[in-house]
Amino acid sequence: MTASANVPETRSTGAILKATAVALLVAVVILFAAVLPAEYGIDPLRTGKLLGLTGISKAAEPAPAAGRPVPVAAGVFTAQPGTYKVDSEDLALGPGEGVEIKYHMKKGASMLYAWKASGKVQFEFHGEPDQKPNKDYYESYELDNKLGRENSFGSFTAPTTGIHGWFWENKSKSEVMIHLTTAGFYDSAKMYSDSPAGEPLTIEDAK
Amino acid sequence: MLKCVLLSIGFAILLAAPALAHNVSRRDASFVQSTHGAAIAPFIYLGAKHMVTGYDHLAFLVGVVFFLYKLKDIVLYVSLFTVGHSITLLAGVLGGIHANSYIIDAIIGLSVVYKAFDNMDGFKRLFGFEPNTKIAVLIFGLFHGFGLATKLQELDLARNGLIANILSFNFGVEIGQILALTAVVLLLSYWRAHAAFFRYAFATNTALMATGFVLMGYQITGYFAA
Repeated sequence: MTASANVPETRSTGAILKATAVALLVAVVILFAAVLPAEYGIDPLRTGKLLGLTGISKAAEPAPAAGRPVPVAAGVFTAQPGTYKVDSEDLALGPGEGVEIKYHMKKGASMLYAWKASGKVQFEFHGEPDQKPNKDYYESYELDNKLGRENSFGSFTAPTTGIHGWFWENKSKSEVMIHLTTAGFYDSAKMYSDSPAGEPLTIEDAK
Repeated sequence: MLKCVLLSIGFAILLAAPALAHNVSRRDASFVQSTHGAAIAPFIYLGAKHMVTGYDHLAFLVGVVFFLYKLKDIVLYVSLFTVGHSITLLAGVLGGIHANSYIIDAIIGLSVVYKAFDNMDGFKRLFGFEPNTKIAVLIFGLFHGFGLATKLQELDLARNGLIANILSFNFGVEIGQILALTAVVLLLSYWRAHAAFFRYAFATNTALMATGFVLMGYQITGYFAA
């Protein structure tokens, strides 16, 4: 950088080299004495242990692998902007009937669910992103279209923003009752039985 | 006396900072992840925060403006830096270029060492010529932008509203840069009014260079340890 009027006293080549060496030396000391023990738990001088710095690196989350983006939501918790909703539905499925219940959730939002049926039902737990490549696109999470099941419990984190839920079908010869309860960060719910547009369900804020 | 205090305060800040790890914080990250669609103001804030708390960018800027006296020069050099980092921030995120963040951050550390050495007249004295300072600022600006891009990419941004959010982040970076530079230039001009500035200018750049070396060592070790 060219310094004009108030030129600081010029330094000799030797002074510049010496200053560079001093800077490097100071940096190496700081690195080995403090930064490496604190950041990576590398503690060749035992100064990290002495000063209690190695605790920082142990407490820290594992460093992300070089160059690869790391999904941050894989942490212990995911904060949400508002409270969660609760919903419970009782459905009666006659022989050969099917019904669908889906919740609209943002990507990364989660819910707990439990459903129990009075007899075996075939089902598919699946989702449709709001933005999907074509009209019939959906993603399947869990499918039992053979023997069927009487219940399913779990927790779910939406992989995409869209509607996520279950399609049940009663292939038996008698009526089956299904009771579904959910709690989660969804903003609306719909039941699809007759009309493809679905009917909105009433959901409640958690008390 | 004042200069010594200023120097030590500056040093304390620079030395304390690496322990805080220069990333967008976990809480901010989970906010960004839950964001779907354009969120102009939050991203402006995050960009500004990243710049103001980003000691590597600040250390480089201190080096750049250290011997700039005229406002016109400051604006010129900072604009070059801004053009450089905006190009790579936008190209990096939009083009999905995934640079290794340790290597980029090590180069950013090198930029601090380079500028401090330049301020010490190292190039002229040792090699008999000084590389064009404007081009150097532009080129290092490109690397700083890649650094910003890798930080944003780690957040797994939603495609929806991506461009608006990156532009907001970039705009925030510039606001943060102006805020930080105002403080730096004010402190420097105050300090320049005292004779001690010239006595300590060389020592200060030595300290700046040491900071750059620490940043380099920190990132290079991270590259091999991670």
